[in-house]
Amino acid sequence: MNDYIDALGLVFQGYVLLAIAGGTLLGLIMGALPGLTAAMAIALLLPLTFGMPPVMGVGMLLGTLCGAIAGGSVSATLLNIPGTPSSVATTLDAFPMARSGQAGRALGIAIVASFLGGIFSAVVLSVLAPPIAEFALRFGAPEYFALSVFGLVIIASVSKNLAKGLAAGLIGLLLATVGSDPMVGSARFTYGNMSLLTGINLLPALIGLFAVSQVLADVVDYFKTEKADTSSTPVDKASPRWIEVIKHWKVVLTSSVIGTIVGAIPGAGGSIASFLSYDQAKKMSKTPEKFGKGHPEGIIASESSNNSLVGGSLIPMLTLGVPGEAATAVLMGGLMIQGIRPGPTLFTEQGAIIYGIFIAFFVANIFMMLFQWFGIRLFIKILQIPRKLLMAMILVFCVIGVYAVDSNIFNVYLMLAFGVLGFFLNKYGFGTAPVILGLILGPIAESNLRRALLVSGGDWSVFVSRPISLAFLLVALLFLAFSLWQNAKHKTTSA
Amino acid sequence: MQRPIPEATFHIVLIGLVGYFLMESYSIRGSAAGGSLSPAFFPKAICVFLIVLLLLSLVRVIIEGVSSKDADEVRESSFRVSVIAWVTVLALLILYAFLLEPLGYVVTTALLIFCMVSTLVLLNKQEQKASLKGVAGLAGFSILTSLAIFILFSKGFSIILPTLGIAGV
Repeated sequence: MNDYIDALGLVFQGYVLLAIAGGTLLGLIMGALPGLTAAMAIALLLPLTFGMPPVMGVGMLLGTLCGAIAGGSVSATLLNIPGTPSSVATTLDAFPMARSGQAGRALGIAIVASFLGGIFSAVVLSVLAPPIAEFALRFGAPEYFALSVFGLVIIASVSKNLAKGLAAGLIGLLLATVGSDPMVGSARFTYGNMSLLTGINLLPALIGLFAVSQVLADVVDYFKTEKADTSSTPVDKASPRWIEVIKHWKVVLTSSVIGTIVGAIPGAGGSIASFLSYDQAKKMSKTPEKFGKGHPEGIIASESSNNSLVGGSLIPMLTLGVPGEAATAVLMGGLMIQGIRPGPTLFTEQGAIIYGIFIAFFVANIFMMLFQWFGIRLFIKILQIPRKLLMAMILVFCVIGVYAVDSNIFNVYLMLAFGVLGFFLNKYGFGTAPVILGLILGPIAESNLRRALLVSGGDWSVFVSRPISLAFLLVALLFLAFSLWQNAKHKTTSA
Repeated sequence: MQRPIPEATFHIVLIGLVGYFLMESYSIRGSAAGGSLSPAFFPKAICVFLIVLLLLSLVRVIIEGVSSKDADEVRESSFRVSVIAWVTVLALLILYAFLLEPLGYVVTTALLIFCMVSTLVLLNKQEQKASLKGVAGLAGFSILTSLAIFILFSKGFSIILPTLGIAGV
């Protein structure tokens, strides 16, 4: 309780609220722009949080994440292009509704559904995270190693091709070995470069993999796609449709539950949650034939679930230190740059900060709703920014952010290298999320593997003789088997 | 399967790089202590697993590429243009990083924005033809934007950015 009171004091300060509001607004803007992902938005804003106190910095990044997910509904409604992958299902009903002259109504419904979904998951996060963290306090070195394996396998198995997903995770693990060895301090793959002695800096890696690679991909797409007509959909008054959404409270609740659960499962992702909720809402509806033709229930289902996913995805990240998808992985990188290492000990050692993060998440959801309500015209204008200018601006921000770490130009080259690597990894279906997870989990996995073997005197059975460690390894194995089966099934059906 | 050759080449490059890391890992110093593992164990193990996975993936790429009826890549006219644009943008970025400290943030950033946008405009057939007014507008935009970002970050966020030392920029 004392931690909560301290946390309230940490959050309700002018500068902290301003940072959360700023992060939410920038997240909404980036989410509204097709092609800019939530992970990219967080990566770009990371450098701004360097000098900030932890709750302020993390609050800003949380606001960015909430805003980016919610902002995806703007382009989904007006252009039929989802701003983020999690708003793909929103296009199914929001765009037809907008085409019938009710764009404001569609956006108003999306605003309220996003807000309610976000608040629901914030409540679940606040209630469930502390007991999970308490349970995780029992973990020793074998459990942490097994947990790292579990996290990597799960995120890799989400890839369309399991071998490629696992390879991407291993690339991250390999890059994590660059620098001083965590146990005895031997230099590995540093080639005499002082900048590499402390390992690969997370920020250039994050910005390179998620922002530079995306811009490089956009450059290629720029010549393939026709210019989107952003002026063709007129927007009437976009005020929140509280009554219309609350009338469908069962859809809100079901979708929020689905979103939170899917979010809490590492690797599941936003588009899965919104499609599952959309499908469930259609099954529950008295008028399923109206889905896909501008039905409010379709928008409510998709938007409630994709916003509730955010809180759900924070549960494994904050309690176990395992981010479930790209945006949370980048957010975790942001926390680590702030000196906060997610995991169960965070709850006992820095209680005020963790509860501050919970409160900041609530506040971010409120700002998200207010900004969407009053700023909708601004987001529509932003959709009209020429893509070529946007790409150049993003690259400039990438460079400034990375250079700002320690005024070292080496970080800029590192970022460019990661950008090129990320571009090809995405192009050939490896994905970049497993790489970043490997980079984050690498030191945890290695040091706990070696520590566990040191304690057990080199006995490898220590990983299967302890129930929690065994459970993690078995679940990881099950996921591997399931992914292999799915891959084989997919191959048979496509043959 | 539309692009077996570039994808296979990417796999081979990755395998080569990982192989290099594997060779280098044999020169990592430090020994195992008390039943634990040596500092070289983890990188070596990862490299071996990685090479196996990449080889498996490469074999799959080759098999799918050979069996696919569409193995000949469809060379759209936009494909070549996008490759030229991609290479130019990357080259501009490397040049930008190279010149950032000697020329200062404002000058290099203005040049990057101007050159990058010009490249995209000149290569895109959908864009209107370049006019003197357009060039002047883009130059103005590039200078003003880089100045605004410089002031925002150096004054607003106290981030030290490289300068030419002339009039503070």
